[in-house]
Amino acid sequence: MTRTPVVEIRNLTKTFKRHGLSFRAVDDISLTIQAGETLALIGESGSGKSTTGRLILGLEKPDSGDVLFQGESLQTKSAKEVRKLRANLTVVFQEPFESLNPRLRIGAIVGEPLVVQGVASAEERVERTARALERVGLSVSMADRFPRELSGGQQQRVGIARAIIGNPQMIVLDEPTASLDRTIRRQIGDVLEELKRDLNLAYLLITHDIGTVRQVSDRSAVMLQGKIVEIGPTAEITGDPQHPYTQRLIGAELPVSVAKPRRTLIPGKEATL
Amino acid sequence: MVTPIVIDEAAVPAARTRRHNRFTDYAGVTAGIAPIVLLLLASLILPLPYSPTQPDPAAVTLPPGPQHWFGTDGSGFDVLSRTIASAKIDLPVAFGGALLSLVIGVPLGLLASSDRWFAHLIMRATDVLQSLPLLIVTVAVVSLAGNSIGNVIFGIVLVGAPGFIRLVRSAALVVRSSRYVDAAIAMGCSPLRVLRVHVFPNVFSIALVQFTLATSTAIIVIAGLNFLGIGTAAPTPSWGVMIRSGADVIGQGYWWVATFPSLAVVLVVVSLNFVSRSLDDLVAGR
Amino acid sequence: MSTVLSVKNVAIDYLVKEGAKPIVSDISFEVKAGEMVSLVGESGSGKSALVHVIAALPRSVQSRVTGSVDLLGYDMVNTPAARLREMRGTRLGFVGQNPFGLLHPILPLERQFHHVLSAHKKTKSKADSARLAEATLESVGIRDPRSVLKGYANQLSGGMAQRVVIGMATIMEPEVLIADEPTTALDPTVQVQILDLLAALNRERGMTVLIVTHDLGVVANYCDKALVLRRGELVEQGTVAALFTEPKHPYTRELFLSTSERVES
Repeated sequence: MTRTPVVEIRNLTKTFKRHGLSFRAVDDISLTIQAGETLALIGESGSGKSTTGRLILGLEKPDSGDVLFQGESLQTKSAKEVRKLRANLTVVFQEPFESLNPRLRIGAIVGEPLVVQGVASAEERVERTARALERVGLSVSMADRFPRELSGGQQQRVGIARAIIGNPQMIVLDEPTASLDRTIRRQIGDVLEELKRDLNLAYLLITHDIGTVRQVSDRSAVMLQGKIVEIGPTAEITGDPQHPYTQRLIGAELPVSVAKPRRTLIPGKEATL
Repeated sequence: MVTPIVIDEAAVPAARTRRHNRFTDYAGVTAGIAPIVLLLLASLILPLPYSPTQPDPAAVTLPPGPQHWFGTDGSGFDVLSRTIASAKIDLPVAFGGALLSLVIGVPLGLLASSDRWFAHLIMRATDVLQSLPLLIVTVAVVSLAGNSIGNVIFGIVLVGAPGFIRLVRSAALVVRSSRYVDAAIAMGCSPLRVLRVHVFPNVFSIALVQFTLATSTAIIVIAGLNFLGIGTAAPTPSWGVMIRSGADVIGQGYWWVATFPSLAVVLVVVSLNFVSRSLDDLVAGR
Repeated sequence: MSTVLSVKNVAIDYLVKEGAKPIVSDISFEVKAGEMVSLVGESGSGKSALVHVIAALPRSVQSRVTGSVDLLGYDMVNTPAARLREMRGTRLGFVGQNPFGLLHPILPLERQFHHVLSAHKKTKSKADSARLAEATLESVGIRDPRSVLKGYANQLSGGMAQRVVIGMATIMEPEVLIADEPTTALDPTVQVQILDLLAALNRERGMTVLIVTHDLGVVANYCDKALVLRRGELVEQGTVAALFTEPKHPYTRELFLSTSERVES
């Protein structure tokens, strides 16, 4: 039985022109994300994973192909209608501080999605902002502060609070913990896990960290030079990778354990970097 | 169910407290504005020793002395009184012109930062404007429309507005490429709201600093145009006119007629630059 | 095994407008020849500041250093820079996080190698330098050294640039290599190749490697010993095996546990 996926992309292509040369950042890819599932989009720099995220979020316009939300193509909708749908599909970026407008207070930042969508009165906004802050483990008094007064981990929590306040169905997480210290990473990861369970969220996790992928994602798609080279349940992708690039990627993971033997040295002439 | 509140790493982003410096910056702004405010107040309310508009033909080209601290000029005007009185016109006109440049330049700069067709139009118009020689254009306007303060303001805006447009546009472009603008677009913000709530507030402080510099430039533009006889009719005092009459007689050794109004211009320009520096630090420190 | 690095009671303060800000306080440790040691810590731990003092590299912030750093017999805290020059490159090599910051942007790479070699009088002619550079680049895994040498730094990818930097840092076969987060800015597949390269240099030449990192995967898979830094204090040190199996300090436990839990599942 197939349910309508929350988000589907069909034959998405995006080309960028740089200094007269054009390169295909995203090359004819197709994907579905079901309600409540976490799909990891794995790749290294230049793979197109971030561009894919930006295309889904409407930050870039595809050259060809389609993005569907709940089965409805966004292309058939007017700009205004698309903006209304954006409430359901939110984002958390990698850089905690840069994701927050330095001139606004935390309360205004977290509550902005409600203002934009025009869905709540002023009192409701205050109430929902307070609840969102609590959900991510921040005290309500934070609402009066400015972003620069918060630590990196707290700033990232603010970004998450902003992403959930409008009751979205899916969040695009672009390397959400990459800029954070290891000990903080775990806390943020826990917050995301809890929210996913409580709010039945779908996640598109864009990352190159296999460890996180193993821990949180149901399915994984591996991207290389704009194409998806392998896709499937995470356990299979990480446990039994088929594509040579996937194998290299999984093989490059450095397990944090001394149980396995030290890596053997294969100094080869692999400088096709 | 709720994740317990965790006290995170002690590290607070480094962009924060430099309280020590903020104080000096505020002091700098105050110190810079003071001479200008004092000069303006003096020109408005201080009873002047001699009339700035009615000369005393008997007291022509007298050197600085106990009766005339700054001496007198070739028509018998007291240089001190006229120097102070000039501030009444020159300073407000300069501020007014700079303000008009800001009011015109900032919105155009914001619009020019978008990707639409009018952005290119605005930038090309700005290019054309900046390639025109101010003097010739203003003289042309004067010969067509007559001599007036309005034309002086026109000259100021001609020079000042392009500066605002370019500055605001590049600042806005930087803001537009930031993650928080991405977040705003992703949550469904309309382009207008993005400009109003996210771009403009983060660009405005830079425009403010530019305003102080634009005023400083405006003073020089006014003095220059007045020097050439554009804008102010005799006997209204203005520094440019005074420097003109001083330049005429300086060859005969009457150095004071041009020197004191020149010093007034220098004082105002230096003070404004001082203010802009402290303001810039204040704004950047945030 | 002889001791190549001896750090005793080193404290570093940054002299900022508000006064002296302590970055590192009272750190002591030793590194023996041939070891691959990591300096582990999160942001704000002082690891980068410490390693810059050990290598006597200038910082943009004025700092005050107390204590002693003995590296290969040189007093790194008090010896004037001119005298330390003789050991740079020949006995001590340095690799940083951003390879492009360590390569001259406008000179062809060949010239940069020649500068380094002729400054230490290791080669006499440009041709000699070129030959030695080519051999070095091959040994660090660059497939076409000659064309890389004729080119410029900005034509290289991050991974290749880092290999070039490692080549330049090790061309005169120094006894010690200090690497400050050498792979943090690189993709995982590239990271592994660079680390394998450093490990190979460590094994084959007996070169002592001191690597600064925040990545415990690096520590677990490449290093013999680790020094754990937290907010400027050396919280624990020991063999990697011991730190993973029996961490003593609560911070070490928290650090290593927040990740090792994941692996077991």
